[in-house]
Amino acid sequence: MNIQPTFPGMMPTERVVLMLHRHWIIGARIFIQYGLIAVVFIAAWVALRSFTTALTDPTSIAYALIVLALSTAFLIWGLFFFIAWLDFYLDTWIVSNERIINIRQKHLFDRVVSEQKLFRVQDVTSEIKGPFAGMFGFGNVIIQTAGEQEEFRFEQVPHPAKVAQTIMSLLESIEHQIGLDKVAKVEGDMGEVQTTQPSAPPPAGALPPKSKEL
Amino acid sequence: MTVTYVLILIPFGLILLGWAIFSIVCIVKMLRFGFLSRQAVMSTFVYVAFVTVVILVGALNLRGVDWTTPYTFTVPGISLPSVQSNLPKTFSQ
Repeated sequence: MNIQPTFPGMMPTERVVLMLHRHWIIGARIFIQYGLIAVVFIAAWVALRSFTTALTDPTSIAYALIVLALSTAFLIWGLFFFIAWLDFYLDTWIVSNERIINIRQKHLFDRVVSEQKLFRVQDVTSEIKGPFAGMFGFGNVIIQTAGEQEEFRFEQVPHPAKVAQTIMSLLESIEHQIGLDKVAKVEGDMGEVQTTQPSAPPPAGALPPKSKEL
Repeated sequence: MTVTYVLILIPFGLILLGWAIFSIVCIVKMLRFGFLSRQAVMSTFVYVAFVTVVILVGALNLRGVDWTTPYTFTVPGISLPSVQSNLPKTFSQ
């Protein structure tokens, strides 16, 4: 059964075409780093059991202190691991049939969400940099838009060329649906008006990218 | 100075309080902003399971500790032999 992905703030007519996270190999790097730290903790526990008498008497204060310290260390290790995973996993890029949403989680408390209408996309570039990225097939997709935030970057996403191709084909289908040539003409006319009258309100449909919490 | 073992729980308790607050924030963020996806729910479940196991194992290992046992902090000292008893007899007249 294929479940259609959804996200908060999704419009009734909207359909998610791509929901992207960073490539799994980037997540695997986090697992390796924290796995190595866990090995150090386990080695410390084994060394204390093998080479000292501190853990022989379960009623002693030394025993209580070591068990408390190791338990706390494991809990803090788990928390940092979870924060690193959260930081990795909550970087999300959504391409729907109407817009592009760029969600960046920076550490635990910083979160930036920006979006842009798909018909404002001007240029899509995909790049794969380095042998590692080439080997595992991940890279960046750079989307140039006509909005205030000119560039959207999908970072370290799998199959960047396919993603760029999908966005371009979506853009073409939108052009056919709404007649983008007409939209461009209207925007061009409004732009001319704005140059002669600086105090005029911004043209319809020229909204800057919104930043909000989804 | 004599104290009981229960005093050593205070600093660990404070650390755990901070840890618990951050953990709750993380879990809420993951579930809310992960759009309740399978990976978000699974990773939260794994984290909660890991935390439960660590706390249970820690509690089981600390079962034998009597937290009311008094502990006396002593000043390190050197016990010297009595000089009087080791004096040569010629001086002890």
